Amino acid sequence: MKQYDVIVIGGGHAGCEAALASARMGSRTLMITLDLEKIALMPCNPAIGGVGKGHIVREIDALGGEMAKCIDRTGIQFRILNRSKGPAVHGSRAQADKELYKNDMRRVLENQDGLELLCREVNELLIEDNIIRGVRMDDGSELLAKSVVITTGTFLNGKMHIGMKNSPGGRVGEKPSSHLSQSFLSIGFELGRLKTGTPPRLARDTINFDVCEIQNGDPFPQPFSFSTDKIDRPQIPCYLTNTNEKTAQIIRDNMHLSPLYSGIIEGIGPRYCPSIEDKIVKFPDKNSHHIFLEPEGLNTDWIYPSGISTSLALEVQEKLIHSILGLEEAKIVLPGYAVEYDFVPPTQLSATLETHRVKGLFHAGQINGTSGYEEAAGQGLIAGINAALKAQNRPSFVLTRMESYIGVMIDDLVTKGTEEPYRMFTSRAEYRLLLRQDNADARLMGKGLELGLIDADTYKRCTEKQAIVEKEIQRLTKTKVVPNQATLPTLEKIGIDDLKTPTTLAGLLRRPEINYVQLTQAFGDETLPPLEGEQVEIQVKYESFILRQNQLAEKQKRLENYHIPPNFAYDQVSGLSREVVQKLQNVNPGTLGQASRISGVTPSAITLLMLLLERRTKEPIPLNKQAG
Amino acid sequence: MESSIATGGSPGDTISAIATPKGEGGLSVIRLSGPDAVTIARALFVKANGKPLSEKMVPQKAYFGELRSAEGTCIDEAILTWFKAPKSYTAEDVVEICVHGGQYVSLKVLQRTLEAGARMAEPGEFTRRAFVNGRIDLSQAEAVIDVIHSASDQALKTATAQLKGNLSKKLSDLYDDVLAVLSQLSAAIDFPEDDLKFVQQAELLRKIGAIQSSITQLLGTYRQGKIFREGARVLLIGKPNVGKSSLMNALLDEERAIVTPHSGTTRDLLEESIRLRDIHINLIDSAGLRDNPEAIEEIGIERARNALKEADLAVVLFDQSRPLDESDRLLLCVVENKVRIAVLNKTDLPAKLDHSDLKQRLAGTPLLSISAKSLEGLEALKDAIYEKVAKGEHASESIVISRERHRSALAQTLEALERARESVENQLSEEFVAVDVQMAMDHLGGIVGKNFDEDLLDQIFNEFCIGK
Repeated sequence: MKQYDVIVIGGGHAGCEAALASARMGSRTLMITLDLEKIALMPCNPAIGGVGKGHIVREIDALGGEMAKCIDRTGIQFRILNRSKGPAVHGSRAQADKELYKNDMRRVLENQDGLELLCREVNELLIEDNIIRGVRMDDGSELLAKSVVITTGTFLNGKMHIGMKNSPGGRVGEKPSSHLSQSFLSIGFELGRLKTGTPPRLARDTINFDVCEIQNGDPFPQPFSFSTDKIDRPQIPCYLTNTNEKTAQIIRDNMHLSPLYSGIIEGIGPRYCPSIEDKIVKFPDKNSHHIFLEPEGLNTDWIYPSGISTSLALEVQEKLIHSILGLEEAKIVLPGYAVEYDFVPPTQLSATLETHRVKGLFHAGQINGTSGYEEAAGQGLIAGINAALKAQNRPSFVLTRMESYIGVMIDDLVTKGTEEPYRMFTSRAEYRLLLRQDNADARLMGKGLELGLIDADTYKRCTEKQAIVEKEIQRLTKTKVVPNQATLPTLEKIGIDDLKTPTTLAGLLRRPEINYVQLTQAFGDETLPPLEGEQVEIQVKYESFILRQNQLAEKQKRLENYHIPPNFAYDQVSGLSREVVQKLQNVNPGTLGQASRISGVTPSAITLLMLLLERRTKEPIPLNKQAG
Repeated sequence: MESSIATGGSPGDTISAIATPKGEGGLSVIRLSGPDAVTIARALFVKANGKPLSEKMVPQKAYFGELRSAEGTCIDEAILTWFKAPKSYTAEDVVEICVHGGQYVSLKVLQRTLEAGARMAEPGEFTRRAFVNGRIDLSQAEAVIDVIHSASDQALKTATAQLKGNLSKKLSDLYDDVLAVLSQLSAAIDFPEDDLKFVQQAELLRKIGAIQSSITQLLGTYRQGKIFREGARVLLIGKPNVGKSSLMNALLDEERAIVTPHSGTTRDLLEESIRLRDIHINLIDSAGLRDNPEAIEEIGIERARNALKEADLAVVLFDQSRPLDESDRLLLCVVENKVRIAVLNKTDLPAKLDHSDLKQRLAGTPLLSISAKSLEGLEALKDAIYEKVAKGEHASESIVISRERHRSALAQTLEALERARESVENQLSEEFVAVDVQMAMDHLGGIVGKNFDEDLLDQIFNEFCIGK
């Protein structure tokens, strides 16, 4: 029987990062997928990144993942969102050519040493004494592995809805994995049900773009990856149109044909990505909703109308599309649909994404209740890393909330679970100003190096960049400008006419109206290249805010340093209410910090646990007997 | 995180504190715990036979002797007991030194232990050590801490009612208001493409300002709440020989059964504690002022002002057997903005003071006549003091902040909001304003027991139509 270190089930965005990370760390890895043609497919919007999501992509890159590099090679329109705001909330986003993206990713997988791809269906997980042994396939054959990563997306018991009709399926035209769902139930996992949806796709040549607002990408597209020097591919535009009162009326008249509103769909959908039905019902006062018309690629005539996800019957979809400016004649090439699917509520996982119930079994992506390619990829990376570490008997790898959005996401998932498909927002992070996409390299690349996922050259460039930035900040902090006859003209040139006392260059840079390039040019100093200059400007301008958040983060770190043994017997602690005990047992937190974030766990309970963990007595802290 | 048990401090050092509650009981106990407890005790204690404690000292045995100051003078007689680890309250070496009551003596002894190498214990630290060392379980620890905390009946009442009633409602409302601001900011950051309408700068400033004034108003009630919890400070003030100490003694005599006299920590002031119904009253006789005949006119004014600052109520004494003089008039200026009661003393002597003149100058301040000598009018004065301290200036406020924890959280909330305001005024973008608004939420959330991140997303999705 064939023996692998790590088997990854699923070839979506989570599966790709998991398999690559594992193989790159030297583990013999197998990816099993239902259809090799669908590897790294984007079944919904043709874009990577955004506010929060773009941050995750940069973090994946800093840890040696592939998503950033892949979109840099295949993106057809790059934009930085939130440019009017500060750098901490800039969000990189790129429209992808879907076909190029998946071909590119498949090429990377196929060329990866130590990684095999296999096109099969897995029916069952092989488990002995709560430890994963391998998988059984649809033909009954078995493959063994030390770790298994499940990244099956919406395929667990998937059910697709268009109008009042529904059929089993994970994505359009693809069958679901029902056996695997059954396998999960028999292991004893609790399952939940979620819903997501996608808009109808339109034929490009049936749309009148002339009446729509054009949306171009940035003039100088900025790459996602630290390793990409420049985006060479020509950029193409998107277009913007709006729904109107007529659209709303059509939807209101046909609510009886909505599976969402007739009670057929039971799964919970995402509030941040509602169907157009939801928007009309929940915000009746809003007369118009944006629709972005995004090309799915250079060589396809499919257009993705973002903002109009629906599961209404096809004839209603046609009517409502035709009510919209520019889409009067638009032809639907693929109807919108909703999909319901099983997920395994992620509070059944530890922060390494390993299940509490089965050692060596890892879950990543939509199976954990998330939505989004970036969220999936981020989890896939962490699951792949930990699966490999486990197979190699090395200590596990966990990112904290203080150092990364990936850490925020996984901590949220395993601590609080999720009621709806989970998407990243910067509002989920406590330390938004510390977790910027511009400093993902500085935050995480050292860890990537330690894991063996970042090569020494790349890391060297990263540390060199930081050294240059540090040196320049020192210079700005030390150089004083004395207002006198010699300096006044220079100061006036950059709009400063009120300087009375000697001030450092850093002090001048802190003024809202001054930027780094202006400052260095005015004083005839050497200007650092854009990325380094950006770091200098950010770190100087926002020093006081960053300092404050750093102090808070340090304080929080103290609680993260109290590790709780996995078999801690909460029910033997007198003074904890039954409710709190139950919550702690359900989540089984790895640290006191995580415990403190479980809703309903009181500060006094945390104090109590802290005291217990500190306790220097002969009687050990209460532990359950280890299972197995 | 808020907790009733101290969390800092390094293990292995020796801690010291006065173990008996302030203002209660006839004896005081100073307790030392830690590896150096015995060494420290040896440095300040001499047995009745004049010899220091020997190496053969026996645990659990009471030793009689006296405590010596650094200069070798006697501070007080004392009984010293050593509880050898682990058979002690904290399971460490513990030395308990029992002295005759009096805050002054206890403080002096405490100070000596600190000089000899002990560290002042944090609140609850003995209990924490007892727990960490496995001496007691947590339910016992909690009970001890609760007892320490409930200083009076009224405090107990407010403590239990604290987060159930109006205050909780008020704080929750404030929390929701801050949340609404944060949700505006966060939605603007996270959904730049969603065509959402956000409040403008002026409106944002108005909203933050409104929350700030609510909090300021609430903070103003703190002093009142604190009185029920920790007692009121009532300053007796008046020119020399007006009868301050007689009045003090009269009030004390009446209450002798439950009075614990203790000298104040400030040498200029004599402080004694009595109980009026459900409130502790710390009576302060501005004794230092009396020592110096010129005091009122000169440095006395400054001292009186300082004493007044600390006081919750001033009882201003006038001698009705003498006409109003310059000292009286100066005094009236000093107490002008203070919560006060005016008292005409010496009603047993013939009246020489012009009542109508004084009344005019007092502008509505209650004026009582007593004789500290014959005790005439004393009951009425006690009622008046109670009325003033119990109801105070905030009698009309139904919502009162009485806990230090609440006060400090609200004060921090206020500060954070002030920084947020500055950011808005400096036209910084939303994520910077959000830093401090989020901090405000954390402080408020800590006392109302809410978890902002979940609430925030709910608020955003309810308020805005999100979904590109």
